[in-house]
Amino acid sequence: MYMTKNVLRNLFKKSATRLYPLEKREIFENVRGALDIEIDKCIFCRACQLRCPSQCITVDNKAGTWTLDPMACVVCGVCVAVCPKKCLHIGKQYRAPLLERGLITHQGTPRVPKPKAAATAPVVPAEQNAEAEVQKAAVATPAPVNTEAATPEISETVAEKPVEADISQAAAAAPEAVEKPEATGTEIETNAEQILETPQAESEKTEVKPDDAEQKKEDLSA
Amino acid sequence: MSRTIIPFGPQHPVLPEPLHLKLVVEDEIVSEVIPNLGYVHRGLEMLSRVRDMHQMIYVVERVCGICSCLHALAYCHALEKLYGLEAPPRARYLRIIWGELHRMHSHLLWLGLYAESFGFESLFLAFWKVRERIMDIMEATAGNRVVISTNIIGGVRRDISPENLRWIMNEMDLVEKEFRQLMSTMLKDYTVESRTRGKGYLSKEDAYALGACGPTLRGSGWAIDSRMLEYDALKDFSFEPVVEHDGDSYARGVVRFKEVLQSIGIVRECISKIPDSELSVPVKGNPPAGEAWSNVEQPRGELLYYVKSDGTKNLPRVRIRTPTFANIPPLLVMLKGCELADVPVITLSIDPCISCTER
Repeated sequence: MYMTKNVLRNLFKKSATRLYPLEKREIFENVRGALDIEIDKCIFCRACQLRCPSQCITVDNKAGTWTLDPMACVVCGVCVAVCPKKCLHIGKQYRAPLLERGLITHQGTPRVPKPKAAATAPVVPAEQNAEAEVQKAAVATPAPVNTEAATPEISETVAEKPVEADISQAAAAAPEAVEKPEATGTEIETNAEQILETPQAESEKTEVKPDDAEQKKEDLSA
Repeated sequence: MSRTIIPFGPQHPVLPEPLHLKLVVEDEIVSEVIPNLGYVHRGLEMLSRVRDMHQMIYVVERVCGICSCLHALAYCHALEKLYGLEAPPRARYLRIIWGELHRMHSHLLWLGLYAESFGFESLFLAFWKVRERIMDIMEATAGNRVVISTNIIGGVRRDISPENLRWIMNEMDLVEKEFRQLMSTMLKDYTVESRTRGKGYLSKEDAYALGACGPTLRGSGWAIDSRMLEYDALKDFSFEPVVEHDGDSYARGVVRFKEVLQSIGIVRECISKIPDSELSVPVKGNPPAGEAWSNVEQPRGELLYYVKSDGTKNLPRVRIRTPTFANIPPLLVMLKGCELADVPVITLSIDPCISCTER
C-alpha cells in the first residue's frame, strides 16, 4: 500500500533528480576530482612516477617535463602524498570528458647543478634525493658545469645541451625562459602559444600520441 | 520430451554483469544448468608480480566495483599479518565504518536490482534513492563515490572530522526512516511474495555441503558470518548474524534487508565509540618472506585473501577467493527444476558479482 501512495505522491512532487548540465550540485570538500601540478615548484625527483599505481605519470628530469595521462589516472592521491615539494594537488572539480586520448605535458625548467659555493649551502632533507639525482645527471652529461648561476644561462644550457634530447622541445623551452627568467611554469595552453612561434614543436607537444603512451606503459611495466 | 538449450547471458537485461548460463529446458522447466565463466577475466592477481605491494592495494580495490573497500581491507589485513603490525584504534573503527557503509550501499543496490528482476520498477528506484545518501557520505568523507581508496597497510589514509561524523549520524537516521518505509513493500507485498516465496529452494544441508557463503548460506539457516571473527573494531561489539530458515529467494532477500538495518546499527555504534589516535603505523621495508591469509565478510559472503611474500617488494602470489565463486554451485542446484520465468529472480538471489569471480 505504501508504494501506491508513494508513486502518487511522486507524481505531483518535484523530481528527486536534477537536470544535470543546467543544475549542478555543490561539490563536497575533499573530493578527489583531478590531479594538477604547480610546475614551478617541481624538482623532477620522479617520486610520483615511481609510486603511481596506474603508472600514468612520466617525468623527464633532463628535459624538465612532467607528463600525465589523464585517462589512466585513477585519482588515488598517492603522488600527492609522496611529493617532497608538495607541488602536486588534487582539485575538487572532476575532469571533463575527453573526445580522444591524449597526454597533458607541463614544461618546467630542469634543475642544473649549482656552482660550488651554492652546493655547500645547507639543503632541506626532503630535497636531498633530488639533489643527488641532479648531481648524477651532471656526471653523465658534463656540458652544463658552468660557473655562472644566472637563470638565463640555465636556459641556454638547456638549449645547447640536448644532443640526445628533443631539439624541438628545447626550442620551445628556450624563448620562454629568456623572456621571463624566473617564471618557469607553463601550462599546456601557454605551450600552445609558443607553438605558434615554433611550428615544428606542435607535433611533439600537444598531438595525441596513443602509440607513444602505450609504449611507455610497456617500458615501465617491463 | 524434447530438450532445448537456451542461453541465459552473458548479455541479459536482468544481469548487471556477464554471467553465462546454458539452460537445458524441457517445456518450461529447467532440467540442467551449465555455467560458462571467463568473460571479464583481467588477470589482476598476476599484476602483483609487476606492481609493488603498496600499489597492489589500488589494484585489488578494482577487483569489484561494489565492495572495493572490503577487498582492500582484506588485502591490508593479510599484509599486516606478514609484517606483524596492527592498525591503530581509530583506523580500526574508520575501517569498519567505511566497510559497513559499503555493505549498505551494496545491499541497497541489490535490493533495487532484485525488485527490477521481478518487474517492480518503482521499488527499484525507491531503493536507489535511499542509496544515494550513502554514496554522498562516501564522496564527502573519502573523496570518491565507489572506489574510496582509504585503506593502506598499517591503517587508513583519511580521517573523518567530528562534524562529518555528526552529519553521518543524522544521515543514518534519515536512511533508516526511508528504508523502513519500504519494509512493508519488500517483505509483505503480495507481488513480491508470489515471485520469490518457494523459488530457488536451497536446503540447509545442501547449502553447507556445496560451500555456499554469505546471505545465501544464512538464508538457509546457518549462522556463519566472517564478522564473527571480530576483525578490527568488531571485537568491541557483540555481533549476531542475521539468519533466516526458509532457504528460498524470499529468505535471502530478508537476510539482506535486515543486514542493512544491522549495518546502520554498527555504523552508529562505531561513531559513538570512536577513539582518538593516529591514523596509521609506519611500514618500513619489505615484508619478511612467508605467507598469510585473511578473511573479511563482503556483502556477498566470505572473501578470502592469500598472499605469499619472498622478501622483495613484489608479492609472487596473491590468491583471491570471492564469495560469488563459492555461490555458483548452490545456484546450479537452486535452478534445477525451476520455471524458466523464475531464472532471473533466482540467479539474482545469490547476488552474483562476476567481476569478483573472474578477477
